[in-house]
Amino acid sequence: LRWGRALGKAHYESRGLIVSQASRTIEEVWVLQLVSLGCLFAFAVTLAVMAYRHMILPLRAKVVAGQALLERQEKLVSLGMLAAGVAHEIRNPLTAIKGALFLQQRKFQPGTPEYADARLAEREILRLEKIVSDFLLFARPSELQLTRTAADAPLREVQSLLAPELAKNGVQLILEESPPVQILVDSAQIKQVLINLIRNAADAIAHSGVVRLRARPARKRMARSDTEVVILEVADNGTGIPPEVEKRLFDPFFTTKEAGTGLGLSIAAGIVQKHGGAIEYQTRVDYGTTFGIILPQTTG
Amino acid sequence: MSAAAKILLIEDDPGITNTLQRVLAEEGYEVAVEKRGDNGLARAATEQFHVVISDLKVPGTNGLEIVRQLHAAQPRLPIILVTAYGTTETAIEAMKFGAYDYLLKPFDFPP
Repeated sequence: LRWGRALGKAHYESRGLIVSQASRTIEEVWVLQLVSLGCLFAFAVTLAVMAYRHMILPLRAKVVAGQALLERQEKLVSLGMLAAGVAHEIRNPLTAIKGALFLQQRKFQPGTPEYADARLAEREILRLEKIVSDFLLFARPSELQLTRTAADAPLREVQSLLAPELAKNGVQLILEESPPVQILVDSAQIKQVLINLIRNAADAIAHSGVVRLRARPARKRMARSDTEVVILEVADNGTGIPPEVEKRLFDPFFTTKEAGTGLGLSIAAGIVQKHGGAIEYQTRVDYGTTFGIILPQTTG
Repeated sequence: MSAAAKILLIEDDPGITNTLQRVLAEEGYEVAVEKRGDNGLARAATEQFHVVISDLKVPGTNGLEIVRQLHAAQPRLPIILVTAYGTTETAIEAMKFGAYDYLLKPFDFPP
Protein backbone atom coordinates (compact mmCIF):
# COMPACT_ATOMS: atom_id res chain seq x y z
CA LEU A 1 0.00 0.00 0.00
CA ARG A 2 2.90 2.32 0.94
CA TRP A 3 4.50 1.55 -2.36
CA GLY A 4 1.25 2.24 -4.05
CA ARG A 5 0.92 5.71 -2.42
CA ALA A 6 4.51 6.60 -3.21
CA LEU A 7 3.94 5.57 -6.77
CA GLY A 8 0.71 7.65 -6.94
CA LYS A 9 2.45 10.69 -5.49
CA ALA A 10 5.33 10.33 -7.92
CA HIS A 11 2.83 10.01 -10.75
CA TYR A 12 1.03 13.24 -9.74
CA GLU A 13 4.34 15.08 -9.24
CA SER A 14 5.62 14.00 -12.61
CA ARG A 15 2.27 14.92 -14.19
CA GLY A 16 2.40 18.35 -12.56
CA LEU A 17 5.97 18.73 -13.74
CA ILE A 18 5.03 17.73 -17.25
CA VAL A 19 2.01 20.06 -17.23
CA SER A 20 4.02 23.03 -15.89
CA GLN A 21 6.81 22.35 -18.36
CA ALA A 22 4.28 22.01 -21.12
CA SER A 23 2.68 25.37 -20.27
CA ARG A 24 6.17 26.89 -20.18
CA THR A 25 6.88 25.33 -23.54
CA ILE A 26 3.61 26.73 -24.86
CA GLU A 27 4.60 30.20 -23.56
CA GLU A 28 7.97 29.85 -25.23
CA VAL A 29 6.28 28.82 -28.45
CA TRP A 30 4.08 31.90 -28.20
CA VAL A 31 7.10 34.12 -27.69
CA LEU A 32 8.86 32.40 -30.55
CA GLN A 33 5.81 32.81 -32.72
CA LEU A 34 5.60 36.52 -31.83
CA VAL A 35 9.32 36.97 -32.51
CA SER A 36 9.11 35.20 -35.84
CA LEU A 37 5.99 37.17 -36.77
CA GLY A 38 7.89 40.34 -35.90
CA CYS A 39 10.83 39.20 -38.04
CA LEU A 40 8.48 38.34 -40.88
CA PHE A 41 6.84 41.74 -40.63
CA ALA A 42 10.23 43.48 -40.57
CA PHE A 43 11.35 41.39 -43.56
CA ALA A 44 8.16 42.25 -45.45
CA VAL A 45 8.62 45.95 -44.66
CA THR A 46 12.27 45.82 -45.81
CA LEU A 47 11.24 43.98 -48.96
CA ALA A 48 8.51 46.52 -49.65
CA VAL A 49 10.92 49.43 -49.12
CA MET A 50 13.51 47.79 -51.39
CA ALA A 51 10.90 47.05 -54.05
CA TYR A 52 9.68 50.64 -53.87
CA ARG A 53 13.17 52.11 -54.05
CA HIS A 54 14.55 49.90 -56.78
CA MET A 55 11.53 49.01 -58.86
CA ILE A 56 8.59 51.33 -58.34
CA LEU A 57 10.46 54.60 -57.80
CA PRO A 58 12.51 54.30 -61.02
CA LEU A 59 9.32 53.38 -62.88
CA ARG A 60 7.61 56.46 -61.47
CA ALA A 61 10.64 58.50 -62.41
CA LYS A 62 10.47 56.96 -65.89
CA VAL A 63 6.80 57.84 -66.16
CA VAL A 64 7.55 61.40 -65.07
CA ALA A 65 10.51 61.57 -67.48
CA GLY A 66 8.29 60.08 -70.20
CA GLN A 67 5.67 62.71 -69.58
CA ALA A 68 8.31 65.44 -69.62
CA LEU A 69 9.63 64.00 -72.90
CA LEU A 70 6.13 63.89 -74.31
CA GLU A 71 5.49 67.47 -73.28
CA ARG A 72 8.83 68.47 -74.79
CA GLN A 73 7.97 66.62 -78.01
CA GLU A 74 4.54 68.26 -78.12
CA LYS A 75 6.20 71.63 -77.64
CA LEU A 76 8.69 70.77 -80.39
CA VAL A 77 5.87 69.76 -82.74
CA SER A 78 4.05 73.07 -82.20
CA LEU A 79 7.37 74.94 -82.41
CA GLY A 80 8.10 73.03 -85.62
CA MET A 81 4.74 74.01 -87.09
CA LEU A 82 5.31 77.61 -86.06
CA ALA A 83 8.80 77.53 -87.56
CA ALA A 84 7.49 76.10 -90.84
CA GLY A 85 4.84 78.83 -90.96
CA VAL A 86 7.36 81.57 -90.22
CA ALA A 87 9.80 80.10 -92.76
CA HIS A 88 7.09 80.21 -95.42
CA GLU A 89 6.19 83.79 -94.56
CA ILE A 90 9.84 84.90 -94.71
CA ARG A 91 10.95 82.89 -97.74
CA ASN A 92 8.22 84.26 -100.01
CA PRO A 93 9.13 87.95 -99.59
CA LEU A 94 12.83 86.99 -99.67
CA THR A 95 12.25 85.49 -103.13
CA ALA A 96 10.63 88.73 -104.29
CA ILE A 97 13.46 90.82 -102.77
CA LYS A 98 16.05 88.60 -104.44
CA GLY A 99 14.31 88.97 -107.78
CA ALA A 100 14.03 92.75 -107.47
CA LEU A 101 17.67 93.01 -106.42
CA PHE A 102 18.67 90.87 -109.41
CA LEU A 103 16.84 93.26 -111.74
CA GLN A 104 18.49 96.31 -110.13
CA GLN A 105 21.97 94.82 -109.90
CA ARG A 106 22.16 94.44 -113.68
CA LYS A 107 22.07 98.20 -114.04
CA PHE A 108 25.05 98.88 -111.77
CA GLN A 109 28.68 98.90 -112.78
CA PRO A 110 31.17 97.05 -110.59
CA GLY A 111 33.17 99.55 -108.52
CA THR A 112 30.28 102.01 -108.02
CA PRO A 113 28.71 102.62 -104.57
CA GLU A 114 25.37 101.34 -105.92
CA TYR A 115 26.96 98.08 -106.94
CA ALA A 116 28.56 97.74 -103.48
CA ASP A 117 25.20 98.41 -101.82
CA ALA A 118 23.53 95.77 -103.95
CA ARG A 119 26.24 93.25 -103.01
CA LEU A 120 25.72 94.08 -99.34
CA ALA A 121 21.97 93.53 -99.69
CA GLU A 122 22.69 90.21 -101.41
CA ARG A 123 24.91 89.04 -98.55
CA GLU A 124 22.33 90.05 -95.96
CA ILE A 125 19.62 88.13 -97.83
CA LEU A 126 21.86 85.05 -97.69
CA ARG A 127 22.23 85.59 -93.96
CA LEU A 128 18.45 85.72 -93.50
CA GLU A 129 18.11 82.54 -95.53
CA LYS A 130 20.62 80.80 -93.27
CA ILE A 131 18.76 81.92 -90.14
CA VAL A 132 15.49 80.57 -91.51
CA SER A 133 16.90 77.20 -92.54
CA ASP A 134 18.88 76.81 -89.28
CA PHE A 135 15.80 77.68 -87.25
CA LEU A 136 13.81 75.09 -89.21
CA LEU A 137 16.48 72.45 -88.52
CA PHE A 138 16.41 73.35 -84.83
CA ALA A 139 12.63 73.47 -84.45
CA ARG A 140 11.58 70.76 -86.87
CA PRO A 141 14.18 68.00 -86.62
CA SER A 142 13.48 65.27 -89.15
CA GLU A 143 12.87 61.62 -88.19
CA LEU A 144 15.95 59.43 -87.75
CA GLN A 145 16.74 57.01 -90.60
CA LEU A 146 18.99 54.62 -88.70
CA THR A 147 21.55 52.43 -90.43
CA ARG A 148 24.46 50.43 -89.01
CA THR A 149 27.73 51.94 -90.15
CA ALA A 150 31.44 51.94 -89.33
CA ALA A 151 32.09 54.69 -86.80
CA ASP A 152 34.71 56.37 -88.96
CA ALA A 153 32.55 56.43 -92.12
CA PRO A 154 30.79 59.76 -91.36
CA LEU A 155 34.16 61.21 -90.26
CA ARG A 156 35.73 60.16 -93.56
CA GLU A 157 32.90 61.69 -95.58
CA VAL A 158 32.92 65.08 -93.85
CA GLN A 159 36.70 65.13 -94.01
CA SER A 160 36.71 64.81 -97.80
CA LEU A 161 33.85 67.32 -98.00
CA LEU A 162 35.38 70.05 -95.82
CA ALA A 163 39.17 69.55 -96.05
CA PRO A 164 39.66 71.56 -99.30
CA GLU A 165 37.59 74.51 -98.03
CA LEU A 166 39.40 74.56 -94.65
CA ALA A 167 42.82 74.23 -96.29
CA LYS A 168 42.20 77.55 -98.09
CA ASN A 169 42.05 79.21 -94.64
CA GLY A 170 45.18 77.45 -93.38
CA VAL A 171 43.33 74.78 -91.39
CA GLN A 172 44.32 71.16 -91.83
CA LEU A 173 41.54 68.62 -91.34
CA ILE A 174 43.08 65.29 -90.39
CA LEU A 175 41.32 61.94 -89.99
CA GLU A 176 43.12 59.71 -87.52
CA GLU A 177 43.19 55.90 -87.71
CA SER A 178 40.20 54.45 -85.85
CA PRO A 179 39.50 50.92 -84.53
CA PRO A 180 36.73 48.98 -86.36
CA VAL A 181 33.66 49.81 -84.26
CA GLN A 182 30.08 50.16 -85.41
CA ILE A 183 27.31 52.62 -84.63
CA LEU A 184 23.59 52.74 -85.44
CA VAL A 185 22.96 56.27 -86.70
CA ASP A 186 21.21 58.53 -89.15
CA SER A 187 24.34 59.22 -91.20
CA ALA A 188 23.07 62.45 -92.76
CA GLN A 189 22.16 63.92 -89.38
CA ILE A 190 25.40 62.81 -87.68
CA LYS A 191 27.33 64.38 -90.57
CA GLN A 192 25.36 67.58 -89.96
CA VAL A 193 26.52 67.49 -86.30
CA LEU A 194 30.12 66.87 -87.37
CA ILE A 195 29.99 69.70 -89.92
CA ASN A 196 28.72 72.11 -87.22
CA LEU A 197 31.48 71.04 -84.80
CA ILE A 198 34.20 71.19 -87.47
CA ARG A 199 33.13 74.68 -88.58
CA ASN A 200 33.24 75.86 -84.96
CA ALA A 201 36.68 74.26 -84.55
CA ALA A 202 37.97 75.92 -87.73
CA ASP A 203 36.56 79.28 -86.61
CA ALA A 204 38.40 78.92 -83.29
CA ILE A 205 41.69 78.78 -85.20
CA ALA A 206 42.95 82.29 -85.82
CA HIS A 207 45.56 81.78 -88.53
CA SER A 208 46.69 78.24 -89.12
CA GLY A 209 46.04 75.12 -87.15
CA VAL A 210 44.83 71.55 -87.14
CA VAL A 211 41.45 69.94 -86.60
CA ARG A 212 41.66 66.22 -85.87
CA LEU A 213 38.84 63.72 -86.32
CA ARG A 214 38.81 60.31 -84.66
CA ALA A 215 36.44 57.61 -83.45
CA ARG A 216 37.35 55.84 -80.21
CA PRO A 217 35.50 53.17 -78.24
CA ALA A 218 34.98 53.82 -74.53
CA ARG A 219 32.83 52.86 -71.55
CA LYS A 220 30.55 55.58 -70.25
CA ARG A 221 27.76 55.88 -67.75
CA MET A 222 24.68 56.51 -69.88
CA ALA A 223 21.13 56.45 -68.46
CA ARG A 224 22.30 54.98 -65.11
CA SER A 225 24.22 52.04 -66.53
CA ASP A 226 27.70 51.54 -67.93
CA THR A 227 27.50 51.31 -71.70
CA GLU A 228 29.95 50.53 -74.47
CA VAL A 229 30.06 53.70 -76.53
CA VAL A 230 31.88 55.21 -79.46
CA ILE A 231 33.07 58.79 -79.19
CA LEU A 232 33.42 60.73 -82.43
CA GLU A 233 35.91 63.45 -81.60
CA VAL A 234 36.60 66.81 -83.21
CA ALA A 235 39.73 68.26 -81.63
CA ASP A 236 41.23 71.63 -82.50
CA ASN A 237 44.29 73.55 -81.34
CA GLY A 238 42.45 76.86 -81.46
CA THR A 239 41.73 79.58 -78.96
CA GLY A 240 39.66 77.48 -76.52
CA ILE A 241 36.34 78.56 -75.06
CA PRO A 242 36.44 81.41 -72.53
CA PRO A 243 34.39 80.79 -69.35
CA GLU A 244 31.81 83.50 -70.12
CA VAL A 245 31.06 81.85 -73.48
CA GLU A 246 31.09 78.37 -71.94
CA LYS A 247 28.14 79.26 -69.71
CA ARG A 248 25.93 79.96 -72.71
CA LEU A 249 27.48 77.49 -75.15
CA PHE A 250 24.32 75.49 -75.89
CA ASP A 251 21.85 78.41 -75.68
CA PRO A 252 19.86 78.79 -78.91
CA PHE A 253 20.67 82.01 -80.79
CA PHE A 254 23.80 82.67 -78.69
CA THR A 255 26.73 83.31 -80.99
CA THR A 256 30.19 84.83 -80.92
CA LYS A 257 30.44 84.92 -84.73
CA GLU A 258 29.57 87.93 -86.80
CA ALA A 259 27.50 85.97 -89.29
CA GLY A 260 26.49 83.11 -87.00
CA THR A 261 22.92 82.12 -86.18
CA GLY A 262 23.79 80.66 -82.76
CA LEU A 263 21.90 77.48 -83.54
CA GLY A 264 24.75 75.15 -84.59
CA LEU A 265 25.38 73.57 -81.19
CA SER A 266 21.69 73.50 -80.26
CA ILE A 267 20.94 71.60 -83.47
CA ALA A 268 23.90 69.28 -82.84
CA ALA A 269 22.84 68.56 -79.25
CA GLY A 270 19.25 67.85 -80.34
CA ILE A 271 20.36 65.36 -83.00
CA VAL A 272 22.79 63.53 -80.69
CA GLN A 273 20.17 63.32 -77.91
CA LYS A 274 17.72 61.73 -80.33
CA HIS A 275 20.36 59.04 -80.96
CA GLY A 276 20.42 58.28 -77.22
CA GLY A 277 23.82 59.91 -77.00
CA ALA A 278 25.36 63.03 -75.54
CA ILE A 279 27.86 65.74 -76.40
CA GLU A 280 30.89 66.29 -74.17
CA TYR A 281 33.76 68.72 -74.48
CA GLN A 282 37.04 69.69 -72.90
CA THR A 283 38.49 73.12 -73.46
CA ARG A 284 41.51 75.14 -72.41
CA VAL A 285 41.95 78.75 -73.37
CA ASP A 286 44.86 79.17 -75.84
CA TYR A 287 45.31 75.39 -76.21
CA GLY A 288 42.15 74.26 -77.93
CA THR A 289 38.91 72.37 -77.59
CA THR A 290 37.86 68.77 -78.09
CA PHE A 291 34.20 68.01 -78.68
CA GLY A 292 33.01 64.41 -78.39
CA ILE A 293 29.80 62.94 -79.78
CA ILE A 294 29.06 59.98 -77.51
CA LEU A 295 26.99 57.32 -79.26
CA PRO A 296 25.98 53.85 -78.10
CA GLN A 297 28.09 51.15 -79.76
CA THR A 298 26.30 48.47 -81.79
CA THR A 299 27.35 44.87 -81.97
CA GLY A 300 26.63 42.21 -84.57
CA MET B 1 13.38 79.99 -131.98
CA SER B 2 10.64 81.72 -133.95
CA ALA B 3 8.35 82.74 -131.07
CA ALA B 4 9.11 83.34 -127.41
CA ALA B 5 8.76 80.28 -125.18
CA LYS B 6 5.61 80.50 -123.09
CA ILE B 7 5.71 79.95 -119.35
CA LEU B 8 2.70 79.50 -117.08
CA LEU B 9 3.41 80.75 -113.58
CA ILE B 10 0.98 79.52 -110.91
CA GLU B 11 1.71 81.57 -107.82
CA ASP B 12 -0.40 83.64 -105.41
CA ASP B 13 2.31 85.87 -103.88
CA PRO B 14 2.15 89.21 -105.75
CA GLY B 15 5.78 90.09 -104.88
CA ILE B 16 7.01 86.90 -106.52
CA THR B 17 4.73 87.01 -109.58
CA ASN B 18 5.76 90.61 -110.16
CA THR B 19 9.54 90.13 -110.01
CA LEU B 20 9.63 86.66 -111.57
CA GLN B 21 7.48 87.83 -114.47
CA ARG B 22 9.88 90.74 -115.10
CA VAL B 23 13.02 88.62 -114.75
CA LEU B 24 11.66 86.00 -117.15
CA ALA B 25 10.38 88.65 -119.58
CA GLU B 26 13.85 90.24 -119.64
CA GLU B 27 15.23 86.81 -120.46
CA GLY B 28 12.88 86.73 -123.46
CA TYR B 29 10.05 84.54 -122.22
CA GLU B 30 6.36 85.18 -122.44
CA VAL B 31 4.83 84.71 -119.00
CA ALA B 32 1.21 84.10 -118.06
CA VAL B 33 0.24 84.24 -114.38
CA GLU B 34 -2.51 82.40 -112.55
CA LYS B 35 -3.07 82.93 -108.83
CA ARG B 36 -5.17 79.81 -108.22
CA GLY B 37 -4.25 76.18 -108.83
CA ASP B 38 -7.59 75.23 -110.41
CA ASN B 39 -7.46 78.22 -112.76
CA GLY B 40 -3.89 77.29 -113.66
CA LEU B 41 -4.94 73.74 -114.55
CA ALA B 42 -7.82 75.04 -116.66
CA ARG B 43 -5.54 77.45 -118.51
CA ALA B 44 -2.93 74.78 -119.15
CA ALA B 45 -5.67 72.62 -120.67
CA THR B 46 -6.74 75.29 -123.17
CA GLU B 47 -3.48 77.11 -123.96
CA GLN B 48 -0.16 75.66 -124.97
CA PHE B 49 2.80 76.33 -122.68
CA HIS B 50 6.42 75.22 -122.93
CA VAL B 51 7.03 75.21 -119.17
CA VAL B 52 4.83 75.41 -116.06
CA ILE B 53 6.20 76.84 -112.82
CA SER B 54 3.91 76.26 -109.86
CA ASP B 55 4.06 77.00 -106.18
CA LEU B 56 3.40 74.06 -103.84
CA LYS B 57 0.87 75.98 -101.77
CA VAL B 58 -1.62 77.88 -103.88
CA PRO B 59 -5.35 78.33 -103.37
CA GLY B 60 -7.68 76.08 -105.33
CA THR B 61 -5.55 73.01 -106.01
CA ASN B 62 -2.20 72.36 -104.34
CA GLY B 63 1.03 72.12 -106.32
CA LEU B 64 1.43 68.33 -106.01
CA GLU B 65 -2.07 67.83 -107.43
CA ILE B 66 -1.26 70.24 -110.26
CA VAL B 67 1.87 68.20 -111.07
CA ARG B 68 -0.07 64.91 -110.92
CA GLN B 69 -2.95 66.03 -113.16
CA LEU B 70 -0.88 68.06 -115.59
CA HIS B 71 1.76 65.34 -115.98
CA ALA B 72 -0.97 62.76 -116.64
CA ALA B 73 -2.53 64.99 -119.32
CA GLN B 74 0.70 66.30 -120.90
CA PRO B 75 3.62 63.99 -120.01
CA ARG B 76 6.13 65.99 -122.12
CA LEU B 77 5.38 69.33 -120.44
CA PRO B 78 8.11 70.24 -117.94
CA ILE B 79 6.63 71.29 -114.58
CA ILE B 80 8.83 72.99 -111.99
CA LEU B 81 7.53 73.04 -108.44
CA VAL B 82 8.67 75.83 -106.13
CA THR B 83 8.12 75.92 -102.38
CA ALA B 84 9.00 77.81 -99.26
CA TYR B 85 8.49 74.73 -97.06
CA GLY B 86 11.08 72.41 -98.48
CA THR B 87 11.02 69.00 -96.90
CA THR B 88 12.73 66.05 -98.54
CA GLU B 89 9.44 64.13 -98.48
CA THR B 90 7.56 66.65 -100.63
CA ALA B 91 10.51 66.90 -103.02
CA ILE B 92 10.53 63.12 -103.49
CA GLU B 93 6.75 63.08 -103.90
CA ALA B 94 6.87 65.87 -106.47
CA MET B 95 9.48 63.98 -108.51
CA LYS B 96 7.41 60.79 -108.28
CA PHE B 97 4.38 62.66 -109.60
CA GLY B 98 6.44 63.72 -112.58
CA ALA B 99 7.82 67.14 -111.67
CA TYR B 100 10.83 68.15 -113.79
CA ASP B 101 12.48 69.94 -110.88
CA TYR B 102 11.86 71.15 -107.37
CA LEU B 103 13.15 74.55 -106.24
CA LEU B 104 13.34 75.91 -102.74
CA LYS B 105 12.46 79.55 -102.17
CA PRO B 106 14.25 81.90 -102.14
CA PHE B 107 15.88 80.50 -105.28
CA ASP B 108 18.90 82.08 -106.93
CA PHE B 109 18.80 84.22 -110.03
CA PRO B 110 22.01 83.34 -111.85
CA PRO B 111 23.66 86.39 -113.47
